[in-house]
Amino acid sequence: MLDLDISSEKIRIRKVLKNVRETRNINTVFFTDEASASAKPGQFVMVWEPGYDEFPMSLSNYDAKGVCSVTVKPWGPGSSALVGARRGDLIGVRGPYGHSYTVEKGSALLVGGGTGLAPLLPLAKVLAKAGSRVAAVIGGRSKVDILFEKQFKRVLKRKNVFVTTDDGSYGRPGFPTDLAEELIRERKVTRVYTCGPEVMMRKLYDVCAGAGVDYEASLERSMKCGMGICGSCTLGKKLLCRDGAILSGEALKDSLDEFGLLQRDASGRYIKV
Amino acid sequence: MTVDSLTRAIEAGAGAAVSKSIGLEPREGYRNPTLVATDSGLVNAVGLANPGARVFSEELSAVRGKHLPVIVSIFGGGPTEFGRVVEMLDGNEFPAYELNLSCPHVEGVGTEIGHDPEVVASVVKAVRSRTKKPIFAKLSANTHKMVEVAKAAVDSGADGLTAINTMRAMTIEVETRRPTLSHKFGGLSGAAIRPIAVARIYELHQAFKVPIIGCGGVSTWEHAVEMMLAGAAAVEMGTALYQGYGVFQEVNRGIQNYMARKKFKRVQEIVGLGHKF
Repeated sequence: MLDLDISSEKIRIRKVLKNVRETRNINTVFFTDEASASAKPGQFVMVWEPGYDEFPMSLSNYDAKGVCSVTVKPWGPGSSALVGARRGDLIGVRGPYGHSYTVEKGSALLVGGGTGLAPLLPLAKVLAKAGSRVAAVIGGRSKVDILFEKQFKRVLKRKNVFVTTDDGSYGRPGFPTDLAEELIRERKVTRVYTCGPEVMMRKLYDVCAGAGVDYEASLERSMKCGMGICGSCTLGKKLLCRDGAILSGEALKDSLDEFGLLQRDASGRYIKV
Repeated sequence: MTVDSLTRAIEAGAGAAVSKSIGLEPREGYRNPTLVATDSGLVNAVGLANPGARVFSEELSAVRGKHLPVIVSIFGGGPTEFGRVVEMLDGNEFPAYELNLSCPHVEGVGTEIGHDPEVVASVVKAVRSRTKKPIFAKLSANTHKMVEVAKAAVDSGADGLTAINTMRAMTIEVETRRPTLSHKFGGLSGAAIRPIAVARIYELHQAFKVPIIGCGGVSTWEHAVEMMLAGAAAVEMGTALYQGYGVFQEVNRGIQNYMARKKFKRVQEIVGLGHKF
């Protein structure tokens, strides 16, 4: 029997190719990494910003040439450093980790808010290629916060992309969930895919559970190892790194006392999401 | 590990599950990277992240009546702190304590305590005087004094020993020239430390009659059996969780097959058999 070998989990050092400013506080950082480029939509990588932090990030782009990207906003020292990364800077990558979104031919609705749109962009491409009927709701606080509108419109055509803003400065006023509820009915949606603020995703879960529509969400928890060992990223009995980060409505059923409400901080104490 | 995660390990076939080390106050641990993979195993400096004794006690009391075999690992900066942690936890239903006397990467609560037989004696006495539950002292192999430390623990009332904790370690990433872990120093676990653990378990089994829990690089049934032959009455697995929770059932089945093949009835029969030669 082979001994335990974790050498494939070593950090790979990559050079930043370019850093694209997307909104007033969201950037997309590109690098070349073949392993990450082999990811399926919804899988994530651990990104090491040397001297600052290492954290899980969804892949927002990856292509056949091995070029990938993560889309990041500053919420701590590590992500802030990554937002400020310059061409040629070194970052570390390992993964991809976790489950991917289910790709099937059906009527799909993608619902995302803020940087939560990152994993939904490659998903839109894959679903469209698979022959799915795909629509996307893109939410943001204000007009200047809307992420990837052009990209989604390129992949899904203009008429299938819907924008909402919390303050009503652009697109449909209100939260993406309100519009999603209408679209689920109108478009006879068979599966909803979401990533974004957890309160939004929980609301959408309740809508989908009520309407009997399949549901998949990308969740986030305090993560350390990313490979099933440390037990930090728990949601009930689940480990997000291994059992997630994509969880189906079915899988979330036994975690409804936490999902959208509570998470554990780095010490393991419960805090609000 | 939360009580939920420990429960999952038990449901997956673990005979018991050891908690993350619990201290008096909540600790967030170190900044990431807290774990780094190498060709020779995993190096971690999580930094004793834990929710604190009060919160963990609440988690334990929520599963009262389920008789979960959760061994509670505790740490502290000295006998007073260890004693207070026990006072906060002891009313809960759990079968045993494991004293973490050997964390190789947290200053003041790890090997500074666990490498000093006198301090270990005072810690074990402080715990002993506050609980009737069995106490296992988890030892560090980062010292030549391990047997001396073990003697201090056993003489002060420890019911058993756990060996070994991770070996003090570091990695430096060459492109960036930085120590990879945010804390720089950590502890090595995984396959590389297993032969070290086997030697230490063998030494402890020679020197003491108390039960030994073997630990360090176990990921298959053969590793578990090897440690038992060296003198371990039970084995712990941690890094092996990389293979998923199925690893517990796989190891159990492998041990059972070995027992049947070698015509042993009870697993106790093989403990220490490696000493016959």
